[in-house]
This record gives sequence, C-alpha cells and structure tokens, in this order.
Amino acid sequence: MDGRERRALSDSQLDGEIASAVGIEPSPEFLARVRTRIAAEPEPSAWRLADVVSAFRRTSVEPLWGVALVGIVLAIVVPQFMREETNRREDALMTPAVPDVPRAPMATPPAESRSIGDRSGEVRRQRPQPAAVATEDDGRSLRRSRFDDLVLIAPGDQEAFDRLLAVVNDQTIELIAPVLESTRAGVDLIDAAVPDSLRAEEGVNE
Amino acid sequence: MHDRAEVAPQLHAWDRGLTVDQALAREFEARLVESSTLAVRVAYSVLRNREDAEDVAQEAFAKAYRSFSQLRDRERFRAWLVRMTWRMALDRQRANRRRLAREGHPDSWLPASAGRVPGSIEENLQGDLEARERTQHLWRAIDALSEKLRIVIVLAGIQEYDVKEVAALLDLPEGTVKSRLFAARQQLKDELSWMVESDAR
Repeated sequence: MDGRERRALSDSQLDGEIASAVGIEPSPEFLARVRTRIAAEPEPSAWRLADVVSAFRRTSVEPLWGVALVGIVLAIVVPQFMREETNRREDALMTPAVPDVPRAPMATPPAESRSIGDRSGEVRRQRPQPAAVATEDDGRSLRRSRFDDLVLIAPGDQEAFDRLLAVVNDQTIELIAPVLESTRAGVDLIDAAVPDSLRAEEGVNE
Repeated sequence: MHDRAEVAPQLHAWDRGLTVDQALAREFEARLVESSTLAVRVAYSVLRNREDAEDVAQEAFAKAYRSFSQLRDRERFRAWLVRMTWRMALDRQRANRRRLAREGHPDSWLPASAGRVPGSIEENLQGDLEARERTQHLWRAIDALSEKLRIVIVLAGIQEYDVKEVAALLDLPEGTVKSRLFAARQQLKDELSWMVESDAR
C-alpha cells in the first residue's frame, strides 16, 4: 500500500484491538444526564399482578402468603360451586321432562286482519302468529304437573296397593265389619257435610 | 465498572419498609450505576461516536425505566438493556445514514472520531495516523459481519472475552457463543489479511 510496515493480526492482537476500540468510558456527566432524563419521566406506577407476586417472592413470608391466598380463593369459589351444584340437582328433580311441542309453521295473518289494521291507520306491522298450537297428546303432556315424576310410593308397595284395590273392587275379599262400619260412618259424615245447594247442583248435573 | 455484587443489597429494599416506588427507584439507580459503561460501549460499537452513543444509552435507560416494573427477572436487566441499546443504536445508525445520504455524503457515515481510539492501543502502534487507519479498517470489517456475529464479537471485546458473561447477556448457550466468536474472528482476519499480503509484497 503505502510502503509502511504492517504487522499481521494474531487472535490476541485482534482481540486487543477490538477491546481497545470499544473500550471507551462514559463522560463524567453521563450519569447526571441520565438521572435528569429519568426524573422527567412519569413514575412507572402501573404495577401488575406479576409485580405484586414478585414482591411477595422477595419477602421471607412467601409460603404463608401463598397459603393465605389459596385459602381465600377456595373460601370464595368452593361454597359458590356447591350452591350451584345443589340448585342444579334440585332443578333436575323438580322439572318434569316435558317433550318439545312441535311448532307449527309460521303463518301470516289473513288478509282481512291486515286490511283492518290498514284501515285503522296502524303503522306497526303485525307479527306472524303460529297457525296451530298443539295436538291432544301434546296438551296432555303440557298439563302434566311438575310433581308427576315424583316417586311417592315405592314400586313394591304400589304393586301391593294395586292388588288390594283390585280385589276390593272385585269383592273377592270381604272387609271386616269394623272397617266397613267406619267406612260407612265416614261416608255419612261426608254426606252430612255437603250443603243442600251443592247437593241440588249435583242432582242437576246428574 | 461497578461490580454486580454491589447491587445485591438494593434488591431487597422491600424488606426495609420502603414504598414500592422508592424501592423501584433505588433498585433502578443501582442498575444504572452498574450498567452505564456497558450501555455506552454497546452503543459506541455501533455508532463510533461518543456523543451519539451517550444519547442512545441515555434513551435506552429512559426506556428501561419506563418498563422497569414490568421486568419480571430483574437479574436479567443487563441483558435486557444490552439488547435494547443495540437495537436503538442500529436505528440511530440507519437514521444517520439516511440523513447523510440526503445531504449527499453516502459514504461518510463513519464519523471522524471513529479512528481515535482511547487507551494504550495507539502507543503500541507506530503512529496516530496508522492507528486510526487500522481501527477504521477494523470497524469496517466488523460492520461486514452478520449481526449475530457482530454483537458477539463486540460484546466479547467489551466483556474482556468472558464467554459466560456474553452468553448470559445474549441469552445463548456458551457453546453457541464460542462458535460464533470463532467464526467472527476468522472472518475478521480474512477481511484484514490484505494488509498482511501487501506487507509481504
């Protein structure tokens, strides 16, 4: 190049040159400038949950805080969950399984009714109504009480009771006299309690 | 340069009844004192200008301060700061180049002070002019490296070739740092070999 003697670069020389090249020191006023710059910054006050957790992590009561935090969460969550579970079970028990009523196709009201609406100056559009409601079976199922599915008598007892009713109706067995008498007395009492007006209505109905 | 052990007592400011903001401010002050030289050197390795480097380092500290409370692992502050300063210095370098290109000096982005290296390197070389020339060639060779090799060789120079420290700053395995350091050295020697060849002639 220019004829001057140059030395080859070994690893150590290269490292030394790089270290020297980057080895500058900040000016004495650098720290003061940075502090002034930071003082102009708004304080970082947006502490997140992670900061709180890391703050707890630095304290010596970390396990205690952890247990307390878990306890608080459980005390809030578990009773609520149990309450919801109980409500869900009660609803399942009390709500009868009513089959879905098949919906009839929506039909527009007849032209007459529309014309009436038009004549009366009613601006609002009439909403379409279902053309038919439900079949007889559906009506029966709709009329079912919500208590229908409750089991009041055990299956074995119900069978025995049905058998008893059957034989009493067929008069294949004879009830003992005191029972009959008490039964008749009960019927007489009922008759006596029925007012005359009601009895007259019954006669009309009959 | 300050030793990192000096910072350790500051980290437990929570235990001394300080408010959150006070503890934060004290901890950041300790980090600032500890890492200021590192940040300026990282910025300088990109910009080759002390004033620009200090400006970028200052902005990096301001940015770090704004996000300091969100830094989960405060022990990673130096690594976080190095990466932030490096990116900001690259942004400044690109802006400088664009500005110089607009002004009609596309090749003069390297400031005149770039060759004036402090320390005893100049004493070891034959003269100030030659030292400046060598350093300028060195920087040009470093700039020709890929970014991942460049940051490794620069940080190694800053950290006195402590591979473990460089690996921690870059969040890389030590083996990766060693291999990149080797590759960077090889490329630099190849880039600078023309000087040796011309000497032989």
